[in-house]
Amino acid sequence: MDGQPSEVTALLHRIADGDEEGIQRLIPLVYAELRQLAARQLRNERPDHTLSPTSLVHEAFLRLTGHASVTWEGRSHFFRVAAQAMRRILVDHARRRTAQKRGRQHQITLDTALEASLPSTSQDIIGVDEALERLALLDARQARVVELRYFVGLSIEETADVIGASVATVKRDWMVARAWLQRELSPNE
Amino acid sequence: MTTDAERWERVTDAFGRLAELNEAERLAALVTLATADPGIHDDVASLLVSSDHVGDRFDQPTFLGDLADLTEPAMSGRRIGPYLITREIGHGGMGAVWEAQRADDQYQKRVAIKMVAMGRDTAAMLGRFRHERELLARLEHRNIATLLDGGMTDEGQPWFAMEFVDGEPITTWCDRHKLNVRQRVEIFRQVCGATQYAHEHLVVHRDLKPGNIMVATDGTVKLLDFGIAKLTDLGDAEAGLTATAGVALTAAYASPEQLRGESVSTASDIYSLGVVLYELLTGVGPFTGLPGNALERTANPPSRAVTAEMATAMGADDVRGVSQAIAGDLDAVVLMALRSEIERRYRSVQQLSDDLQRALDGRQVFARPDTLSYRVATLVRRNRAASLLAGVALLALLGATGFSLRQAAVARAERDRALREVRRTAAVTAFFQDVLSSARPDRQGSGVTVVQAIDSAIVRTDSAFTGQSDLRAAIKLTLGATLANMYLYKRAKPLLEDAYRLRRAIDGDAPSMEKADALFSLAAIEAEVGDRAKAESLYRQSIDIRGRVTPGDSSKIYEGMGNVAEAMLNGGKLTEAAALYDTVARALDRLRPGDIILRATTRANLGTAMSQLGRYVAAEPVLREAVQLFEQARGPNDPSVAAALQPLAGTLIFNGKYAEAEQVARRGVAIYEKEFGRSNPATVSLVRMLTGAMVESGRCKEALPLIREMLALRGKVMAETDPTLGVALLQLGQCQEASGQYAASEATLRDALAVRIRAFGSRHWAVAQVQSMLGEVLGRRKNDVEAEKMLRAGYAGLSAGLAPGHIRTEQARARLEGFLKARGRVLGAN
Repeated sequence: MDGQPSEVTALLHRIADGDEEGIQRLIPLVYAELRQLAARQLRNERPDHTLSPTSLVHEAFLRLTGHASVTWEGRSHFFRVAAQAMRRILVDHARRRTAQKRGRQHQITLDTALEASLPSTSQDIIGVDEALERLALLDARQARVVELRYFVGLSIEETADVIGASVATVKRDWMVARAWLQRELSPNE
Repeated sequence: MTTDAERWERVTDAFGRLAELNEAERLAALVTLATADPGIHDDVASLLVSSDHVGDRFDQPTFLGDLADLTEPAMSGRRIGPYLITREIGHGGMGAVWEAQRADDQYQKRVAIKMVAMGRDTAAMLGRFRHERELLARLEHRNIATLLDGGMTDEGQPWFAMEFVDGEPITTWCDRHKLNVRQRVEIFRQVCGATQYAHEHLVVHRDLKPGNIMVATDGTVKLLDFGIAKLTDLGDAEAGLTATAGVALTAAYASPEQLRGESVSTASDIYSLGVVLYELLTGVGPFTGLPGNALERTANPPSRAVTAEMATAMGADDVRGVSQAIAGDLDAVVLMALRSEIERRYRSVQQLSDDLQRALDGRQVFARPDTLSYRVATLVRRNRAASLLAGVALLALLGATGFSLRQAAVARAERDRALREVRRTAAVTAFFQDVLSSARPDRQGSGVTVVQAIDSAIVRTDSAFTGQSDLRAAIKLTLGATLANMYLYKRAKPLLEDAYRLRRAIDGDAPSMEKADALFSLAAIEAEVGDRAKAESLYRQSIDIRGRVTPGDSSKIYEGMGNVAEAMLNGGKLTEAAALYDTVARALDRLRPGDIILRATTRANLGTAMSQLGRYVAAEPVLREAVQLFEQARGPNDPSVAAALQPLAGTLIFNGKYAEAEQVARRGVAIYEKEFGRSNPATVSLVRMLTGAMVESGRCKEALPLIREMLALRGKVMAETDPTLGVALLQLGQCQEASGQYAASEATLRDALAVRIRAFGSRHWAVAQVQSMLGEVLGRRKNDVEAEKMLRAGYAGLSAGLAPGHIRTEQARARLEGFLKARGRVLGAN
């Protein structure tokens, strides 16, 4: 895989050692890999393959680290970064799609292929993205929990592992954040 | 922190509390909240309402969509080979499955059609595909869904037709039928049977999970998708995607070697079966969290993972009953299937299945580590558990109070330190698991012993952790402590010295807990086999460092001082030891009144020292207090209580309170016997107090059977150096003398003398005590020359070793005086 595994693994080690710059360098790598994976799976290579953010992120992780042993901290950082990348991909896509709808543009692109399969959640994606900015000011951890659960689809246990909190804490964070999002995104509120 | 964030923290707390409650309780709580914290009441109330309406709106990450949805309309009604697709019945990582029926069929037979994603259609790949299909077609077993047909669509897409199974996954079926532990194991053995059959036919499943293990409506177990995973691998291999093959699998059930992308064998199926069984018995998987966790963690025994939901699903009253049914043998069997190293798992599914049957029958299971490795493993596990727990507890604490701590840089540094500690512990743990796994306790007589494994680990440590001297130090410290616990002091010592040197290089003169720990273990070794004065000085250094590392935690220091005192006690510095114990006891009462165990231990040791010093009258209340404190901390039947009853019984004998001594000893024996069994050195050490009370009060007849029972353990559980052996021989010799069997008594006491010299060295008062008694018997045997030598040596030795006026010394003096008097002489005249 083009020497990428060692680069990503090395970055993860650097991040684990407290190198914040490593995160900035990791994001574009993960972002590119996720987009590439999504695009390939949407081509006819695997016509019956289930495509979910969770499996994409897991696959990207395995591909980018090339099965090199990565510590818990490394994995945790990877999933945090991947969640940010996935959020960006999904939000960008949702924005383009709503724009397309307005402009009635017609192109055969990855996005149109996606559109056919999408439930009407574009508004939700953009809404959640914006609401999360506000939630992060109130409670950064709750915002991270939502990012990992909503944009990547990690389970409560996986989320707890990534952010290094207890399952009970994550469960509570998720419940309150979810209720808050519901209230924020309700039109009559 | 902004006021908004502070307020939100209160909202979150209140919401978390109230969300747990039922409707009525919630209303009541909201009323309370309205007065307690009116500023957040409205917010919490409206969030609770929103929570009730949110449903699964944010739960399902379906944004990228499911391409199966896209393809389904096209597939429905489509003809594949001789089959007509009717509807989609499911899809997963491995591909979608459709229900179909033969288009030309008069029997209306339903089949399941599965498309397999393949790469480019090269001839070689199709050849392998056909070969695999033939292997699969040969599987004819009532518990395996039959492969009926297969072929290629016009577009070159390979497909399979399989027996259609109308049923549900084994986990939900077992829950719905409320099967208990035994019934679940029994049905699981059917799964084993089918898997074993496939393995004998050279087919590995590679993706065993509840979704592939169905129970049909008639109760028959049916395994689906045998070997299909391999066919998709063929496609992946062609497309250059071998490394990602694991992704298509369900990570939760995949073996570590599959997760690592290594070659797959029957052992991988054994692992996956272990995961399924774990889930069947507990309701949860052995590993939660990130997919890589299975690679570096050890599963909890299933008995400790049983959920309340599972207890209900088994129709049990509570978790405890279910746990008890699993604890022990089933735990061992499941964990053996789940071992991360292939060679330490069961070698076949048959073996796993047989062991399950043995567990059900209550027979000895194969999955049981030998005691030595078990000891080491437990030790390592305990150490790890302790340090990990400390880390985890700290993290949990930080997580729970995160809001207030997050702001402070100090707190951040503290959290980083905790994280580093957890990571370091994980690396060390992984190394040890590796070390222990190379020892094959389950194959006695072959393979590597634990000690050899540790030896090889010692060699590997330096190369495996080059440049990470903190890890090297940690590993050497643990290895050294482990070896010391196995009484292998000579091997342990250089490791601990290395660990200390490494830490010194890292820390310089700065105090560190690791440095203190290394010195502490070295001191313990010196105290055991070496120079007791040196032990004392090492203990003092270690205490000094501990004191500087944790200035606030004085209990650590006093714990260390207790050890210094013990070294003094064993080194014969009784007065100093007692004085130090006394200081420690007083300090602890004042500074750490809540640390009852430490206070009790110190008192027990103080009492023992006082008793040896001849201050048995004063020792008695101290020891009674020790017993009472242990009872308070651990309950009346805890072994620690018996440990304190032992010196109390001895002291009571010294004080002439034989009846109470006997009563106290009997109570101690009962506790130890229940805990360790009758033939255990600890139990026997209390039996000897019981017999001591009897012999001293002249009831040899009652004591003799018990004395013989103790002596029967000689060479078995009782080592030649066990203090009880000397005591039992002494008591026997005493009884033989009392009944006039002087020849027998002489032989017994000579034996006792040899035993005690070996155990204590020739200059110890315990040796002198035997010499004195032997001298008396020799006098009765008219061997006057040797008798006098022995009596004098005994009296001198006791005078030197015990405090002036000690009852043992007084008895020895009386013997010598009696001997001399009978011969018309007096003491002092040579």
